[in-house]
Amino acid sequence: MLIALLGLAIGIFLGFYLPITYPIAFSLYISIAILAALDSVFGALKASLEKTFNTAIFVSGFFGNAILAGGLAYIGDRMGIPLYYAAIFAFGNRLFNNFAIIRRHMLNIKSD
Amino acid sequence: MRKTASAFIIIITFVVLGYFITFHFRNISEEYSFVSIRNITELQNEINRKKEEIRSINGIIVKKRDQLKQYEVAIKEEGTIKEVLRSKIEIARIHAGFVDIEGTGVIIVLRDSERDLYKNEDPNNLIVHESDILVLLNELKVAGAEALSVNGQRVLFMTGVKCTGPTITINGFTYGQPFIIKAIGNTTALNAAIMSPNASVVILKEVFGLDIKSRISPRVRIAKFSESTSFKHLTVKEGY
Amino acid sequence: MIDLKGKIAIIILCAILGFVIAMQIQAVRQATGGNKFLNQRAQHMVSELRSLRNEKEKLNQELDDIENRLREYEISEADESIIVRNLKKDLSKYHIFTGFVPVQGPGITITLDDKQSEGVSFLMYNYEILLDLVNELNAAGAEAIAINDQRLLSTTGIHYFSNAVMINSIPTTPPFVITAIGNPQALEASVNMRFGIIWNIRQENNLTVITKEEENITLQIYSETIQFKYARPIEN
Repeated sequence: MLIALLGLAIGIFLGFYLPITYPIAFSLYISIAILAALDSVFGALKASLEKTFNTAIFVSGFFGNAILAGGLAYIGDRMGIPLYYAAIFAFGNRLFNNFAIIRRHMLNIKSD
Repeated sequence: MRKTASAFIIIITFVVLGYFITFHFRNISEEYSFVSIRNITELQNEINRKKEEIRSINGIIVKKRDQLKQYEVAIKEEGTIKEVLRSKIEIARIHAGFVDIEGTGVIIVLRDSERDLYKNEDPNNLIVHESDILVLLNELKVAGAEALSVNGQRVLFMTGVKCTGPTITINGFTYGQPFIIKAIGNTTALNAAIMSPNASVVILKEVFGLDIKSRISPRVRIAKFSESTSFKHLTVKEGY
Repeated sequence: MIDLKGKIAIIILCAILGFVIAMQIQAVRQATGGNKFLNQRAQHMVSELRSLRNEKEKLNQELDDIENRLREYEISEADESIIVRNLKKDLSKYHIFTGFVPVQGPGITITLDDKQSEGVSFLMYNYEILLDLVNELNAAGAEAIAINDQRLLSTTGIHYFSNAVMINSIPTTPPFVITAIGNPQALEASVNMRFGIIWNIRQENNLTVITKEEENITLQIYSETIQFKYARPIEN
């Protein structure tokens, strides 16, 4: 958990200070991909608390989800259907579910 | 004991929730709704548009104030605005295109291509089209052309160029090639417009092999617009 | 717990995620040009817009005022003198061509829009479509045309610059509303002709084209002053 936060902090720091940007047109797809990746991270946290963490699943889920979500949003834009809503619902839902499970674990540990 | 403690906590939680709900209702203002990037750019466009409109209204105000002053001076000195009107008409006629004019400029001559067709090439590629002329005229205008003519016909804003087979009809007159386009303006700018690698005529020449020649001239003469200008549908707005 | 490989994976991937998040925030910040939250920024813009509207209102009133005073001069003398009346009529006629008077009459409006949400608008990139359309209208007898309220004069050029189409050097963006004065049926027929420009456009791309016949359109004044710096009349 702590290393995850550490990694995030490093990334955010780098992101603000390195002058790399991408065209604003992609921002919709990138933000959906971010959501998907976040869901992966939460899933990893949950897995680590349940002692079922698997590196391969985490890495594949991270990139796979992000690419799939971004791709879906792009295709949806092309077709004129807001497919990204599907991604928001799915990943948002899982994120909160995982968060709930994480919370239970942490509180359980406390009350032990 | 546990039970009352947890009951207490639950009550507090609901109180807080209720407070937030009413707090929110009292604070609802449309301006605090979710704002997307698109809204921001639209707002920005609207602001830019308004600024532009204000600038143009200011421009008109300046012109009209000037006119007012001319009237005042004329009445004071001559008792009539006749002379002011007469001189304004002179200038307007020139700007409107009803006077022969001359000045520095460029002359461009367009002819169909002489080369042979490539295998399977569309023969249309080798002919001068009306859109070629339209794009060229537009480029010259963007480069500041003050007057334009095609085969001697003055080109005004309501002049249409019609492609009728191998000929072109403009202002009611039909012409075959060569098509001679004259423009008066700043020669450097006009020349750049026709010589730069992005110029339409350069592409037409290099890629499609159309026969296009151009030259700068210190004295280009362009005739006045000589067709009738009776408008069948258009009228000046009341009071102007 | 988690093996070393897992820890490394987590740290690297979270770093990537954090990086992308920061980039996203940067990108949004650039697009909306400010450090404030979008809400606040929108609020500022709304109030700026409101004050601009007020300023425009005030200027319009000032303009009306000046025009009234001009008319007083002209009417008072035109009443006494036929010469002045005719001079004024002549002047108005030429001012139609220099854009210094607003004109009105029956005609049509054509609205061109492309629903491109991101990226360069197809219409803007291919602004020659506008040129062809204007020519089509002229050939069908249009007597005056304006695009997005920009009066088209004999010296008006159209080109693409910095994410906008410049008409009379004024940046305009889609939707493009073309207003033309003329015979409404003739104009409408020429525009909607099969295999004509609009027909082609409608088939090919994401463009929406709406034409509407109008009973009375008004085209505004062109606000810049035409100046001939190179052309001089030939003395005869």
